[in-house]
Amino acid sequence: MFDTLFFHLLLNGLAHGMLIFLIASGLSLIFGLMRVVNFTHGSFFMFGAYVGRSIYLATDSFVLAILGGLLFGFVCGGLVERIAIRPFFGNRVQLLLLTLGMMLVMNELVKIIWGPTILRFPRPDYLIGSFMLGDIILPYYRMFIVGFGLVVLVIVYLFLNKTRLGITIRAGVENPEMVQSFGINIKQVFTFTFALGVSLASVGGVISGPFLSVYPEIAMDNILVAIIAVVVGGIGSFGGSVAGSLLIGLINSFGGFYLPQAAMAFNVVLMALVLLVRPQGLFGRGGVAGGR
Amino acid sequence: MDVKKILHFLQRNIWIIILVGGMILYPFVSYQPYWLSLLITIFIFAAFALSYDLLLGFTGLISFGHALFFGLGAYSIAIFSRFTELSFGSMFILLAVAATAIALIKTAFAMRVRGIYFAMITLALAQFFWVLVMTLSRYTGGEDGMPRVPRPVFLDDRLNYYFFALGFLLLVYLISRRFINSPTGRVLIGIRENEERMVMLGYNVFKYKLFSLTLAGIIGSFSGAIYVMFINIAYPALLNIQSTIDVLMMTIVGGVGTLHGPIFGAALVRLLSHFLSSHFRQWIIIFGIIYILIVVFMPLGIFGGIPGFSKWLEKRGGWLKWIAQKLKP
Amino acid sequence: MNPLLQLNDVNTHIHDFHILEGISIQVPREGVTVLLGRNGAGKTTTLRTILGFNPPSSGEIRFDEDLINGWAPFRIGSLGIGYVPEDRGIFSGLTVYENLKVAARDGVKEMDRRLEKVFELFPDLKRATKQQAGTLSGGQQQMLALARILVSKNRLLLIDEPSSGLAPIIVDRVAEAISELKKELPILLVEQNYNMAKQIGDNYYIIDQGRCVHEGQMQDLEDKPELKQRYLGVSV
Repeated sequence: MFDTLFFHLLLNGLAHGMLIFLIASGLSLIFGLMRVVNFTHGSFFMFGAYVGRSIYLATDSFVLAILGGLLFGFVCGGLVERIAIRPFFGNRVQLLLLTLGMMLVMNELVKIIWGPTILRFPRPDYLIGSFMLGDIILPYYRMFIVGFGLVVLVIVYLFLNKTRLGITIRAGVENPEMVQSFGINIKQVFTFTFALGVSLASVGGVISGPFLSVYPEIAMDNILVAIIAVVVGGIGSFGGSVAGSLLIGLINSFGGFYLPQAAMAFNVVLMALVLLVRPQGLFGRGGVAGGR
Repeated sequence: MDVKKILHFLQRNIWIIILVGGMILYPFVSYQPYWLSLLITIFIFAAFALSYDLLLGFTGLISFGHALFFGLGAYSIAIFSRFTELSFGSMFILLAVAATAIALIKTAFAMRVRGIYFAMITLALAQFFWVLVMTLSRYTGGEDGMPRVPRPVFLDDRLNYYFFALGFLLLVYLISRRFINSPTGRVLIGIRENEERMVMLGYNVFKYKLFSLTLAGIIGSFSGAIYVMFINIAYPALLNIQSTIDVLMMTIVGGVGTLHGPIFGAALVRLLSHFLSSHFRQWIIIFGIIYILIVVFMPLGIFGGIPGFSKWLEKRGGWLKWIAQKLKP
Repeated sequence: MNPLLQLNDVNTHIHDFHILEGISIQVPREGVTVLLGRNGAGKTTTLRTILGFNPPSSGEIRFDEDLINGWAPFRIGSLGIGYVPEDRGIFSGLTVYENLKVAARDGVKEMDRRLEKVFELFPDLKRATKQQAGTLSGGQQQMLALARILVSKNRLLLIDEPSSGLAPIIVDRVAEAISELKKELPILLVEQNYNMAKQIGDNYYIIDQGRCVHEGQMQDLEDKPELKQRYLGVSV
């Protein structure tokens, strides 16, 4: 039963799931804390891919590309929060429409800068090739994506659970007012969380580049999938975003193999089922779905 | 007495009469096929945007999948006319039934989830149909769409189509206005303001949301049907997220929660995109920036953004005041 | 000595509603000041106005030397004003220890130094530091809410309805804990439970329809049945 095809699809699904996780985790934290659906998240994933590719082609260092993607996302995320989110805080409809508009502009901007065609993002030499485990072929690059995702997952988990800032973010998801009463400037926490979330998406874009290539449509495709992963996992829950992303990644991989083209339909059906049976998501706390 | 009534009617509807009259006279003043076509699509999209505003502005439902109805209309006509011998009349009746069925599904969701969750699930539902259309290419033509969609013979004449579309928009406008000002419409506005209170007052919220979604669905799908008969091809992009974003923008740009807003919004968006797309290759970016500026500086839309106008509108009803408060930066 | 906290003719609007219509109260540097009044009189809004969550539209709020109206809530919190809302405001997905850590404004070192004493006061919490706060009982959650105030250097404590939703026997324990706290911290207490207020209160203000209608020493209120009946619904 566990033939080579199974492992191939498994690794593929996990790699996809990890990329979705890098978008979904930030999206989920930002929504949970600030009640903002950040539609630009997919666009920053896309920009990360382009920026990372440019850095890699210029410096020939994949490590620098990853660090550059992180920094790019962090700085841009911080700026976007300060300039475009904070002034409209408390008005969810306006913010929703605003990030939607920014998404459109960013997705066009990328065509102006890098052109509308698919660009190749070469892999670094040390990640070319495959690991053979008996008959099973495990491409290095896919294993790298899974490993990288795991490392990020652990770091973010430790940050959220062991540092005071991380704990404060989790507290703020539940009750931002109370957090302020303890003398914490929640607006700074917001800016930091937004910047962190965007930098995760952006670095996700960098490592997706050699796997999926780089083209403008990855923004739209991935924001939709990430939103579904967040809703399935439970908005605001870090564990939920991990579970939702991996689930969606695996469904896409296996479902996509046996019933190609219907993968997106699987995602949608999964989300509809989860929302009907458990509206707060698999890992979400009760009552969230009722909020406006 | 009757004269008084007529005068009163004229006074109340003076702007509509002038506008409709102008539109009726226009083709006789200047008959340019290009502009007529543009106006026809404006009329159709105005009706579509109006149906969206019934949900967003008047019921407080943020739907990100309204394109589903538009696409449903387009593909229903295309599929019916290719595979059946139905008359156009029966096609539209079947379409209304189908739209009602989907509205029922959406209402079931709307009762269970709210706010952004409803937005997401409607988005997902629309994407689901989009995938269906892409996958069942034997019946839908897949990515290539379905060309050669027929239309009734009398609509082959562009001028007739012009008046047909104009009449459709006028009808949609009058029905919507009647609906908003009816007791049902008032209840909907009550639901938008405070759903719990309406439940406690004993209103059957399900029924009212179903009304609103069904009306919006039927108008939306008829718009799609009329559009596809005009352009003669049904294609998948009609029902994906881009199409929803288009209608969302028309409504926002014109002014949420006003009946005139979406109509002017549709006109502005179509004219602007025609102008921009013929002058700039990356026109969407300019369009996006204009849209952002409107969201930021004129949260009431262009219609509500002019100070005098917005005051005037605010006086007209409680709902606009509500929107004004909600949207204040 | 001038009072620690002073509200002078404070008006607060929430949306279009005029909730506080010129409240003036003074909280001395020691003892428990109780805000009494019926539901919807404006007691909770008074606390939220002090904290900056519902900033006043006019009037002045003075904390020690600072004029704090219009300040951001986190700045007001940093002055050393601790807050326990009626729903306790516990972060239910965090552990007890994590709850305390968020509240540790003066750093974890200072918190650990104070923790021993806090656990002496609330022994239940010591056993439950790693437990999720949402799984605590109502009484324990109230203890945690109070403990969060005690892990930092605070100068004033605002408590909203500590007895609400608790069993009578637990209410007694909460009252005991607050009596213990008042030896160290001045407290502004909102309380519907007249017996509890009588037990731990020193001064009182009666608030009705957004105004202070009466004030005085708690023990004097005993002799004013008509006041109690009219504003507090306490039958004679």
